Order: sequence, then structure tokens, then C-alpha cells
Amino acid sequence: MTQHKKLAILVRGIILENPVLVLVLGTCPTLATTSNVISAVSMGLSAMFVLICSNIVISLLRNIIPDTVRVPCYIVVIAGFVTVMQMLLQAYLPSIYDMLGVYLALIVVNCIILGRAEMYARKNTVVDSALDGLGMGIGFLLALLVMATVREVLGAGSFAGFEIPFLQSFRIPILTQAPGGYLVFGIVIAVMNKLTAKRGGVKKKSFSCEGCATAHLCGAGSCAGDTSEGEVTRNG
Amino acid sequence: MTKSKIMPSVVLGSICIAVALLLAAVNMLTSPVIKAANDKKANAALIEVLPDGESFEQIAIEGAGYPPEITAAYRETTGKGYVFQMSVTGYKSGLVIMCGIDTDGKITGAKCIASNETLSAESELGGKYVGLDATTLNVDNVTGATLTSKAYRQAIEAALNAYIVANGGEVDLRTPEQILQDDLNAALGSEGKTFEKWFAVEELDGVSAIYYCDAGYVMAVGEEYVGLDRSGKATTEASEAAVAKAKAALAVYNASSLTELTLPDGVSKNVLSAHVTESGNYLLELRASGYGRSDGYHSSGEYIKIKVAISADGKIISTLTTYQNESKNIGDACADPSYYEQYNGKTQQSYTEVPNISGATVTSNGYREAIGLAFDTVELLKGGA
Repeated sequence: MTQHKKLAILVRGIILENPVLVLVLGTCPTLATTSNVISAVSMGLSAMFVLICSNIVISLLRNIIPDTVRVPCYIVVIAGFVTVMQMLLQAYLPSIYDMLGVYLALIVVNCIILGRAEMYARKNTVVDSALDGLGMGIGFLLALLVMATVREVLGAGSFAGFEIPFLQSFRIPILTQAPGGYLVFGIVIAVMNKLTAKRGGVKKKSFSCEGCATAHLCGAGSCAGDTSEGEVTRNG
Repeated sequence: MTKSKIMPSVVLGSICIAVALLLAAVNMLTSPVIKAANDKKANAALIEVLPDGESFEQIAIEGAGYPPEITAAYRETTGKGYVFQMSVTGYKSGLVIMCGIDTDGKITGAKCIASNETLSAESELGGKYVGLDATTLNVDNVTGATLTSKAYRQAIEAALNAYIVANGGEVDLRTPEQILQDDLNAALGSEGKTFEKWFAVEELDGVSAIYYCDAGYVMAVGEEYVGLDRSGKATTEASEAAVAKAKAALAVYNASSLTELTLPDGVSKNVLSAHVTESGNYLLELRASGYGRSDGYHSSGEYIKIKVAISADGKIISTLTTYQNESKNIGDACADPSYYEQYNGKTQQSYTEVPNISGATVTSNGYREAIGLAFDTVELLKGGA
């Protein structure tokens, strides 16, 4: 039973609660790095590394970090891991480092990582948090891979830099640029919704005050402590 | 109560310290690798201009007598030569050039690595300098990109001078003006005085120029400078003949006097003033219509102002450009003594022989017209006298 539960945690992040296509988190790197497959995979793996490490550490410290400083603490931990990864990439994989550019540092403010820390890691055990990080990371990576494949194959007539001969004359260059990115993104989300409709619909989740980092600043406004299911608030 | 106030800060602080330690450890591991990769990238640029080079070390340039254009210097560690990096101003500032020089003083390569120039001429100039050295530095300017070409050449010359310094030699970095003032001070035995040049309205025998300051005079007699103090005593060790010439020139200088003349009707408006000396020489101030007065692009609207001294027998004694606002680095060469002094010694028949400034035809033609006007005016004044 426990094994099944563990597997469920892992699988959840891939389909039902895919961070990019269902929860619509981390859209900035998604759109920015999916113009080609190599940078998409690099971004996915980098974010997964940070996600798993930060989930583990935050889960380990969940009983030590006081509520009042939890967000600064999470950010310090996440930024630390991102910086470690930046240094390792710059030293051992400089071409990937150059390719990802500024988006590597932006992983610090990737909503997926802070969101999972806030929603899951601080309330669950280390193993569960690690599995959640792994699942979400794989989901992120797969979403990026799907998008990048569509954009690079149809937009540039190549895959991971290898040219596909018969597609070279049928390229749609706009797909590798921003407008095309949004288009592909929307279509992939629509397809995802259709595919998951059979499984009893996408599990809608409320991101109300519990998951919001600035809850203490709101008054009786739009997110006034509404924890009911069926209310979906999208974070970017 | 107090615990709930301190704990957050303590926890946050501890996490920060722990993360900092982790980052320091990873940095210790990765920074040598990163540095090696960056060095390799930088080395690649150096090897491009010194192809036989393998590895380089940077040389310190502060206070070592390097030309001001040099921003970095590298010695090739296996003895193949040097690479210098220069920053000069062509059409715009920020033209950065790297030049490799081998142990024979020959240029092995030159490349522009940063530029704000507009015509990309700097990308083709590098190749022209390969194989040349300080004695054979003869590269034509790229047509239409004079400023860029001049700046590129200035950078290469700086590199060749830097090569001398790097090999333990010394290069005179003084401007020609500084060298002149130093030599004049040496002749007079003074220090730090600023000498002015006398605009000669008299013909001087054997003396090409008189310089004066509050401490005395220095005469350029042939190739040497002879100094005379306020009382007329020689301050330089020079031949008797030279000292005699200098003293004679000083006598002429002291005796010279100018009388202002009223300009008669019929004299062109471009003649601003006229003086005559006791010896019958004329000193005229004129304005010339150069590029500034043409309808050219960016013309200033201003005249060139000139002073000319013409001897009684119709020969130009001295010329001087007292004001100009012609095009920068093109027409402003009319303010350079090497241009206007070409008119010295010319007569009304020969002054047209002076060649135009390359690329500044309008300026040169205007200048020449003014000189012609000076001769004509002198005729007019003589006729009226």
C-alpha cells in the first residue's frame, strides 16, 4: 500500500498535476527555453535538480523554520542550490551554461519550486517530498520536451540540432519565436485537458491563502481564506 | 516571548551561513576550472594575432613608460614575442585593437576586437599590417574611412613603441609641443617656462624662429637653439657664429615696430587689419572662406582667420592660422604649422604651388585665396602710400 502511495506521489506530478500544463506554473522558462530541444532538456534537468534538493532540505527543516521567516528561508535555500548548479555548469558544461543564459538564474524565482516548497515539502516527510520533487521535475521536463519538439521540428525542421531533411522546406519559423511559443503552449494545454478529461477531470486545486506567499497582506479581498475545491487560481 | 522574537532571525541567519559555506565549498572546487576555461578563451584571441604562440602571461603596464594607448600587454612565455591591446578613437571612441609582434619586431597579426566605427573598415585593416615593422609601416588609408585608418595606424605605432618598452627600451612619449618646450628650457637654462613663438614681421638672417618667455629668448639658428637671457647674454654653449646670429636677430626683434594702417576703400572686407613696419614689411590679418563658409554638411558657418607678414620685396615672412573651425581631423589640418608654414618664403608668383590638404580641398582653396588676397592688398597699400 505504501509503495502504491509513493508511486502515486511520483506519477501525480507527471500527468494529473503537471506543473506546466495543469498547474500553469513556471511558464517563463517554458516559453523561453523551448525553441530548441537541447536547451529545453537542459532547463528541465536543472530545474529538477533544484526542485529535488530544495524539497529535501526544506522538508528536513520543516519543524525548525518558524512561520514568520519561512519564505526568506526557502528562497535562501533555493537560491543556494541554483547557484551551486550554475557554478557546476559553468565549470563542466560551459556550452549549456551559455545556452541557458539568464534563465538559469531565474530558476530561483520559478514558481514551481517555491510553490512545491510551500504546498508540499513543509508539510510532508523527506522521502515524500523528494518523490514529489522528482515527479514534478519529470512532469516539467516532459512538458518542456513536448513543447520543444513541436517547436523545433515544425519551426526549424530539426531535432536537437540534427536537421530533418524532408522538413527543411516546410518550416514554420514563427513557431520558434515568441508568438509561436504561446500558440504551441495553448494547444498543448488544450490537448492535455482533453486527455485527462476521461480520468474524472483535472483535479482542480485551490491555491487560496494557504498557498499564497502574501496572504498576510490581504484583507477581506479576493482570496479571503477560501479553501473550497473547484476554485482554480492560476499562478504564473 | 523573547524566544519567538529571536528564533526567526537565528534560524534564518543559520540557514544563510550554511548555504554560504556550501557555496564557498563548491566555488573552491569549480573556480579553477572556470578560470582555466576563461583563460583558454582569452588565449584564443591572443593566438589569433601571434599564431606561433602557445601560452601567455600578462605584463604590468602601469608606470612602466608604455604609450597611453596600451591597455594590456602579454608576453608569450616560450619566447615567441608579445601581444599588445590598444584603445584608440577613430570616428568614435572605443576602437580596441590587438597586435602581435614577434622577436624580430615584425607584426604577426592585428585584429580589431571592439569598435563603434560606422563603416567596418577596421576589419580589413588588420591584414595589411602583417609582416611590417617600425621601418616599413606604410599602409594606405581605407577610402572614406580616414579617421578609422588613422586611428588604427596610431594603435599599431603604439604597439611598436610598446614592444620597445617591453624589451627594456625607452620611448619618448612626449608630444612634439612638449619636446619643443623642453628643448627651449634647456637652451635658456630655465625650468618649466612656457615659451611663445614670435610672429616674425622682419626677415631674420639664419634664424628661423624666435621664442620668448619672461626669462629670456631662444633663437632657432639652423639645427640648434641658442638662448639669450634678458640682458642679451648667451646661455647656451654654441659656436660664435650662431651666437652672433642670435644676437643680431634679437636686435631686429627689439627694434621692430608696427604702425596700424587705415584700410582704404576698395580693400576687400576679408582683410581685417593691416600694419606696416619701419622696414616696409606688411602685417595683415585676413579671414578665409573655407569649408565653414560653404554649404557643406556640418559646416560651422565660420571663417578661418589668418595672419600673414609680407616683406617689402614681396616675400611671405610668416604665416599663422589664428582661428579655424573646419571639419575635425580633416580641414582642421590648416591649423597645423606643417601646412601653413609651406607658404613661408613664397611670392605672389609662387604661392599657388602649395599643395592642398588631402581630403580638404575646400579648406585649402579658401586658404590659398586669402593668401592671394594678402598679396593683392599689399600692392594696393603700396600704391596708396
